[in-house]
Formats: sequence, C-alpha cells, structure tokens
Amino acid sequence: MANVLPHDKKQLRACLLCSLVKNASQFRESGCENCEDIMRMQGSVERVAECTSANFDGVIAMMRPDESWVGKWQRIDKFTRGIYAVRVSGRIPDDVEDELDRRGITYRPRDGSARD
Amino acid sequence: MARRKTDDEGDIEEPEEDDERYDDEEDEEEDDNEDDNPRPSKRRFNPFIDEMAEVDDDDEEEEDDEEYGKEDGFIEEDHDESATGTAAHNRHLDLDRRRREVEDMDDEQMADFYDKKYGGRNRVQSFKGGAEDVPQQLLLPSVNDPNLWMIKCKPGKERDIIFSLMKRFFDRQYSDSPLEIYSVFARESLKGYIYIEARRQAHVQQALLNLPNIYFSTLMLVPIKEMIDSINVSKKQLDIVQGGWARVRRGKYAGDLAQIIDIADSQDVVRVRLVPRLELEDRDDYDKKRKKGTYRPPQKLFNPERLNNKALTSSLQKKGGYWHLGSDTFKDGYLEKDMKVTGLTLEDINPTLDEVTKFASGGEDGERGLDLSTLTNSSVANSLPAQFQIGDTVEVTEGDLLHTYGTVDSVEGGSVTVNLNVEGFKRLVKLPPRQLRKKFTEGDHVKVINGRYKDETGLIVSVKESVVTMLSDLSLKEVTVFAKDLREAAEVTLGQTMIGNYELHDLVQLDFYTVGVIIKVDRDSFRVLDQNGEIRTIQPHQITNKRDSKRAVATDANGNSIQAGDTVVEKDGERRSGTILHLYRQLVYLHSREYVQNFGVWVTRTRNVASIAAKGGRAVNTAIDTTKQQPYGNGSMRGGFNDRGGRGGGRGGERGGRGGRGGFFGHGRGGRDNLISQTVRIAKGPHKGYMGIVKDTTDAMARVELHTNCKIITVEKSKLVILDSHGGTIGPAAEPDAFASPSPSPYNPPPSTPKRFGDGGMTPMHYSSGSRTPAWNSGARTPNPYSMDGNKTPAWNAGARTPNPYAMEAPRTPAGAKTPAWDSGSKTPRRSGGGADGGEDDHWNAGARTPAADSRVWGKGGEDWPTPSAWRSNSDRNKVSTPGPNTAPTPYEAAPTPGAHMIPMTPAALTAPTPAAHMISAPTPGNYLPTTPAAGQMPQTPFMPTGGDYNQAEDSQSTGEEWPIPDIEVSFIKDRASGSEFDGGAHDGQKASIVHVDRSKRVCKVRPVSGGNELEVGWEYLDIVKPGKKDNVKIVSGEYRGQIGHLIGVDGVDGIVKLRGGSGFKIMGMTSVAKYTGSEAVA
Repeated sequence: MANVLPHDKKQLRACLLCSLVKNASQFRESGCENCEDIMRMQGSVERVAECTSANFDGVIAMMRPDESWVGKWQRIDKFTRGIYAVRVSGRIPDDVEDELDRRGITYRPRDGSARD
Repeated sequence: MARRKTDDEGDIEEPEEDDERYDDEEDEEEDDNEDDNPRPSKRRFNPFIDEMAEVDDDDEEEEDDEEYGKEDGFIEEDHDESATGTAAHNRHLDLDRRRREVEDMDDEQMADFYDKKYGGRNRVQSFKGGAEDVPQQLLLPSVNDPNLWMIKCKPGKERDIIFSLMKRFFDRQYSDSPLEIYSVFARESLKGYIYIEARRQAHVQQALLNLPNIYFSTLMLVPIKEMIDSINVSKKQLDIVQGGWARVRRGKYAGDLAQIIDIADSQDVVRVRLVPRLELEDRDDYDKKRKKGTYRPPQKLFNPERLNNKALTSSLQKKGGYWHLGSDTFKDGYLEKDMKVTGLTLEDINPTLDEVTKFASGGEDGERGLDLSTLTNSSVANSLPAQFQIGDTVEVTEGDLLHTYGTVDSVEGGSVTVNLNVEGFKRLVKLPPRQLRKKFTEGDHVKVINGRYKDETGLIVSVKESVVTMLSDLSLKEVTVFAKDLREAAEVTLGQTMIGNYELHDLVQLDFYTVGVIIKVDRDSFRVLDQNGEIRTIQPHQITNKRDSKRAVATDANGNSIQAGDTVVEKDGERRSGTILHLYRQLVYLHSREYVQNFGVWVTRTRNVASIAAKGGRAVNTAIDTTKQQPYGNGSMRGGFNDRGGRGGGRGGERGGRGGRGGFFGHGRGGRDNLISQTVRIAKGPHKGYMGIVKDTTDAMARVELHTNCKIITVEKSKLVILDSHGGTIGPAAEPDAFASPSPSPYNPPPSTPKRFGDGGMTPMHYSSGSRTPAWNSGARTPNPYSMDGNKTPAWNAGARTPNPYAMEAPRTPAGAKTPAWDSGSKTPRRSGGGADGGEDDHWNAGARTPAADSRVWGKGGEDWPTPSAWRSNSDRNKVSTPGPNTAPTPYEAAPTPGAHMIPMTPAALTAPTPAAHMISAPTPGNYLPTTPAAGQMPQTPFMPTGGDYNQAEDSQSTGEEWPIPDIEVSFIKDRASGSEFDGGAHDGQKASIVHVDRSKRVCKVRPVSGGNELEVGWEYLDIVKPGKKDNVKIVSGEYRGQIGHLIGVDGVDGIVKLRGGSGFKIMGMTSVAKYTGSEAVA
C-alpha cells in the first residue's frame, strides 16, 4: 500500500484511465494499481508518459472507495485506496482504447468531457 | 522456491517416483511435465499450485493468499504422498470422481464452471472501472451517503494536507484510532478550501487533529444539494487547439507568439512553432559579458545559408526536412520546439496581425495572402462572445452549418444565438463564438474595436476571409485588421485624440531645446512634429510639459501680427494656406485639412507666412495698407488704443482711431464662428431636409451633427439653413456667392474669406446676438428711410474717386444733425476736418445741418433724391466723395457699436453681393467710407479686386435708388428733403398701390388702397410700406429687384424672404422689401 502514496510532490502524474495520482517513478516501478492489467506501463517510461498526464486538476485522498459518495461519483469506488485526481486532461492511447473496447468496457475520459 | 528445490532433487534422486506421480496427474499436467527441465522454475511451480488450489478449494479466490502460504506444507504433503501409498490412492480416486463429474456436465454447466473457475480469477486482476455503466444521475448523493464537510486552509497547502491525511490514514489503519473519514479532496479552482467526506463531524475533527495549515473554526457541513457542485470542477477547460496560438511564458522567447502544431496525448506537452531568436552574429567575450542577460536577439527566420557564426555552422545538420542546430530543430525557417503546457499562456492571446503575419509569410514573402487567411481562422477561434453584438452579421466557419450567414440574435454566457439563414429558412441556432466570424462586405463603414488601430473608423475596401482592409477615415491609409476587431459603425471618429493631459495638436516640450506639435495620437504614443519638421514617435512620459501659445503673438511677412487661430498663407513654396496652431519663437505650426501629409500639420517660419484672415476679425491687411497709402498714417490695427489716444488729437489721429476702432471691436468679436451650435437644416444635397446642429466649421464647410442618427457629416455652409428654437427658418447660413476663392495675393482683402461673412453678418445670429444687436436694431428702426437712401447712394462712386476728407466730413454733418450718438463721435473729426478742408468746410457744414438744406442748396435735378441727391449733386460738382451723407443719418454710423464700426473695417461686407451684404451696405455705405480710410483708398490700393465687388454693390444700389416699382404698397409721406407735402398733406398716412412708374419724371401713378382715383405722385412723397410677416413681397432693390416672394419672417432689420421659384431663403434688408399688391401667384 505504501507504494500507492506519492512520496514526492513533484512529478506527479495521474493515470488517464482511473485518475490515480502517483509520482512518475512510481508508475514506472509498479504501474497503476487499478489499470496495470490494461495499461501495462510498468517498467516503461514511454508507456507511463503515454498513459498518464501531469495535467490534472484537483486531488482526492480516497480512504474508503467502496463506501464513499465521492468515490461513486468519480467512479473510482472499485479502485484501490490512494490519491486520485478530480479531472485529468488527455486521452488514453489508442491501443488501450481498443483493449477496453475488446473487453466491453466503455471508456470515460477523465477530462470532464464525458456527460451523462 | 522451496518447492522447486525439492522437485529438482527429486528429478535427480528419484526419477521413477517422479514420473509415476506425474502419470497420475491430470492430462493438463503432462504438458507441463514434458518441458519441465528447461523451464524456469517459477513457471513450473505456478501451474501446479493453481491446479491444486482449484481442486482443493473449489475456486475460492479470496483464499489465494492462504494457498500461497501453504507452500511449505505442500512440500511436506508431497513427501507424505510419496511415503504413504494409501493416501495417494484415495486422492486419485477422488480426482477421478471429479473428472467424471465434469464429463457429465452439459455445455451450459461447463461454461458456467469455467467461468467460475477462471473468470473470477481474471476479475481479480482486471480493471474494475467501467464494469457497470451507471448513469451519473443515479450517483447523486443521498442521505445514506456520508456527509461532506468544508474547511478552510492556507491557500496553496491543499495538496499537502490531502497527502498527509492519506498518509495518516495508512499509518493509523491498524492502530487503535483509525481515521473514520471516507475521502478528502480539494479543487484547484477553489483555493484555500478542502472537503472532507465523513459520517460525523467528530470524525472529521479527529482526522484533522494536529494538522498544520487548517483553520479549524471554519469547518462547516456542505448541504447535500451542493455536494455535486463542490466536486464538479467548473474550471474552464484549457482548450488547446492544433494550429492555435500560445505565448511563451519564460526564457528567451518569453512573450513571443507560438503556434501549436502538435499536442501530446497527455495534453501536457505541445510542439510549438516559433520565430527563432538566434544569436547569429559572433560577439566577442567582452560584449557577451557586458550584455549578458539583457541582450535578446531579434526575431528572424532561420536560414542556414545566412549563418555566419562559425560555431553554429559547425554543429548544423540536416535530417529529413529539419535542420538541427544544437538542440534546436528548424523547419521552413521556424523553430520547432516541444514545450510544456505550463510554460505557455493559452488564454487571451490576441495575436496582432503583425505577429500572425510573421507566421504567414512562409519564409520569404511567398503566398502571404493565402497563408494569412488560413492562419487567421484559428486566431479567430480565440474570439470571445463579447466581441459579437446583437445585429452583427456573422458567418459560420466551422461545423455542419459552414458558410451560412445570419445575424446575431443574442449573446449570453459563452454562446451566441444566431438567426441563421439556412437555405432560405430562418432559424435560431446557438453556436460557440469560435465557430463564428463577423462578416463584412466591401463598402461597409466600420470601426476598429481592438488592437493598434482601436477606435479608428474607415471604409472597407477589401475582405479576405477574416482579414479586412479598410481605408481609415483619419489617415486615409489602408489599414488591415481582423474582422473580429471590427464592428459596423456609422459615426466617423478620428481615433483617440487624447492620452492623459496631452491632446491632438498640443504644443509640447520634448526636451530643453525641442518642442513639437502632436499630429497623431496612437494607442499609447504620440506622433509629434518637432520644430525641425521631423516626425517622432513619443511616449506620453517622454513629454516634459505642455506649452501654451494662446497668447503668443508674432509678426508675419507683412509685419502683421499673427496668433494662434489665424489663417495664413505661405509666402513661397507651395503657398499652402492653413490655420495657425501654435507659435513658437520664430516658428509657426500650421494646420490644414486639405493636406494629408503629416496629418495636415506643418511647421514654417513666421516670416514665411502672410496673414489672410485673423481669427478675431481683426483688420489685417486693410489697416496695414492704409498706413502705407494714406496720408493720415496711423492706421494701426491695434487701433482700439489709438482710438482713445487719437480722439483729442489731430485729424490723422482721429482717422487712425476710427480705423482702429474697428480693429478693437472686431477683436472683441471672438473667433468662434457664430454658426457653431446653431440648429440648421440642410437645404441641398443627399441630406436635404435633415436637421442638425453645427459642431464645427471651417471656412466653407460645416460639420453638422444630424438629429436623426447622431451622425456628423460635413456640409457646405451654403447648403445650410439656420433654424430658430421652434424650428422656424431664420435664413441661410451662408451665401454660396460669398465664397470667393481666396486670391493668391497677400493683399487679398479679408472679404474673400468666407469666415468673414460668417462673422460679419451673414448669419442672422449675428444680428440678434451680442452687443452689436441693439445698435443694429435701433438703427434700423428710426432712420430706416435714410438707410434706404443710403442704399441708393452714388457716394460709392464718389467715395472711390474722392479723397477721404470729404467722406469723412460728409457723414459727420448730417449724422450730427440726426443722431446724438453720432454727434458726439463726429464732432471732433469734424472740427479737425474743418481745419484741414478749409473753405469748403462751411459749405459742408451747411449741408450737414439738414438734408433738406442740402437739397436746397445742392439739389439741382429732380433725378436726385432729396437727401442723398443733395450729396450726390455735391459730389458731382465737387468731384468729391460724398458717401457720407447717405450713411450719415443711419444709426449705424451713429451707433457706437462695435458692429457698426467693425463692419466698415472689413471690406467683406462691402463686397458681398448678397442680400445680407446689401442690408449692411444699405444702411451704412457711407459709414465705411468715412470711417475707414481703406474705403477711401480703394482706387489706389491693391484692393482693386474688391473694387469689382464694390461695383456690384453699387449696381444694386443704383437700382435701389429707383425703388419705385409697380405693384407695391406705398404710403404718402412728407418729402424728407423739403418737408413739403403732397397735395397739402391730404393723403398723408394713406396707403396706395403703385400702378405705374414714370422714371423720367420721377413720378408714380398710385391707386389708393382705400379706393378712389389714381393719383400721380412724386417719388419723394412716397415711402414703401413695410410688409409684415407672411406677406407677399416684391423686392425693390438689389440684384433681386423686381422679383416677388414671400416674407417668411422678420429679424430686426432683416427680412427672410423666399423668392418665387428660388430655393432656400434670402435674407434681405427690410428696406429693399416692399409689400406686394399685384395679383401674380407668389408661391
């Protein structure tokens, strides 16, 4: 769990799929706790750069995602505890989008453009 | 690990046993078994574990961990297995049974089984987000959800607090006092606040305990309704558009415009194109040191062939379409660079056309126009909704409705509602401003609302996409601007005319030695014409102070004094004429709207100009000429003072004083054209019928602000008709004829400048206003008949021919006789005149006493009028000027009003062949002559040109002399000259209509209005019956003699007459207007 918490305030990046916020180095070392299955950015600097964004807005410390309304609202209630962004600019790379499509998962961009 | 080790050992030590064991296993296992050895141990290990786990635990994923935990035990189990055959056997049986079970299952059950078996496992590892697609509507907070609290914190510390709370949560997770809160969040857009999600306030307090930078007392609950708003970040999304513009925040390119050419997926890095700032020149070390940090190379497109810096050239490489120079890459002369979004400003870029053009020029001014239009599309995208106004015509530039036009219906928030005309159907469409572009067509009159040319107006000459070229009203130059910076405007503004204290045409001190005049006010700078004739661009702070030259007086080439506001003409060179803006030492700043160069301002030496019309109506050349030509000398312009001084002095002094008085009073008249601020109606041209107020005038033109639409237009004064406060017509603002083109001669008398007319009495206003008025009026009332006489006076001729003294005297006497005012004024000169004239004096005196006497003495022929004729005959005999008598009895002469005296000073009045002029000249022809030496001089002086004008006036007077004309109403009076009465006074006061005029006998046949026989009456016993307002009239004198018309109104001594068949109105002296008794239709 300790790896979820950013150890530094610099070089923070947010995952484009789940909006988890970590240091760039943490993403490289352990990938994203929620989406590594799809994103597979562990160990690849380029992949981290592709799948995460430093341009995000608002931070959430999510302590109990399953019970929290904020978690539900942000659709991070199934995810791990940790720091999340309220909004992330950017879109996931095309291959990830294809992969999500294959799995039948609707991609909701985290940049606030999704409306329903 | 331990398992693998044992396995390996087994392979080596007990191969048979191992094989046997694997044989017993499921088929799947066999594959693994075959390539057992070469495989990494881990892989061999895992499948086995999986299988065992599946079998043993019936796919209970949660217990995976426990399975892993059993590793050690497993090994032992393995050992047991090999040790005890029964246990193994039992196990095999069990497995067989299960296999049979599986085999018995139908497909559906099978699928279910595998799904349970593997699907669940996959689910553990897979991405959990998006598995369920719940609309956000169903996620709205309810009472069952935890509450949200808001607390203030130190701005900028939000993230720190949230991170430390997260850390605290993990730290205390398994402690006695775990954090009971659910989440904490903060938004970037709301600084200084964090939100905490918890069930109870106590939990929040407990969680935040001992945390720095939090203001505890500010804790408050967020109502459920507002929870969504608190988390929904409403911050405007930074819209990074490819092809859009940005500005660099820091570094060498700080402030430079950059074009975004590519955006990274993560949206935090963009590739931008910049105009390079390369250090192309080698600079020596000293230079570098000295200028370090301050030197910024200018923007210049990169050209590898022009590199002359050796250090740079050596590292230059070409790869693909790019030039690499050190770490920089260049393409097409531009620098392309990856930059972080945070290092760029993306909002409110407002690129200027200049900047955009740099990007558009495509290296070497290639297809500029084409590129420019494509480039600017994106710059228009930056436009704000505020730039659209209701009613603007817009074109859609993006989306499905591309190329449709419409008008803006309303603008609200970030969108513009447009009434679009789609295939003939009108419909309201809401569109974002960036999809719209203002549409203009050539010929539109527009105003710039943004940028360098802000507030200038002009006429569009070409429209290319969103780039509009217009002809500025101010500079008459073509100005190219973006359509978004324009709006349609009816008014003509000349742009800004003021920054701070400094205004257009101010004289400003630039430095100790230099002054200049502001000739153009730009957005934040002035263009100043300095004393050397150079134009400088000056910032307001560079101006030391403003100088006032209002009171400065200089002398022109002719020795006349000139001052600001005077109109002068250059003595040589282009002979331009202009108005003096300022005088500075030997220099004069001139301005004329007729010259475009330097915005109509130029500087020259005072000795190089000659005054043609002084602002305040000061006599200029007249006076000077007088001094030159006249024996009486002393014709100083500043005669107001001389006048006083000269009163008691000799004759010359008096003359000078007389002349001077004109100047003196004239001075008091002020420079303002009386037409200004008058309500007028335009009588001709495209704006005919419009009413407006005169805002400003030039010599011949007036700027009129129309009532109807506040437009200011420039109209010739001659096309204006002045109106009174009730909208009634007063009269024309100016007579077209009056605007004689200025003669090039420096001696050209002021009359030729229309301004004089404006001042001198063309405008009715003049008569009805100011100190002059009473004089005119009073004058007009009493001795009207005399002024009538004056009209006819032959004195003009005489005046031209004769020396002044007589003119001088002539008025004096009769005036003295008639009007006290004159008397006092006239006595002095008379005395002195008497001295000078010697023997003739008595004679004159005799004549002077009463006109009647004159007529007795001098009147020799019936052809003459009693009064004037006396003098006329006088002049005939003596060849002496006798205009005086005629005018002398007029109040003008007598009235010590500035007007009376001033007018004579100015030949303008004399020369004007206008009704107004007649009016003036009629009552006071003599006045000019005797009082102003100039008049006496006419023949000898360069006034000759005006002599023609005099003649004209004379003509009108000579016709005026023979005033009797058929079909006018007359009344019987005493003969003014002799006092005798017609028919013994039987008819006195009666009115009659003239039937026939016998000029040879100077008698009229009249028919009394009251009836009765026609009578034959001598002219001298008849007088014109003044018509009243709205009467039909016949003009008895002047160039319109014989014409009939309608008297619209009477203003003092003036009548406003609309002549039959004529357009507009004529102002005529009431003395030349008689009541019409004929039967012809007037209208």
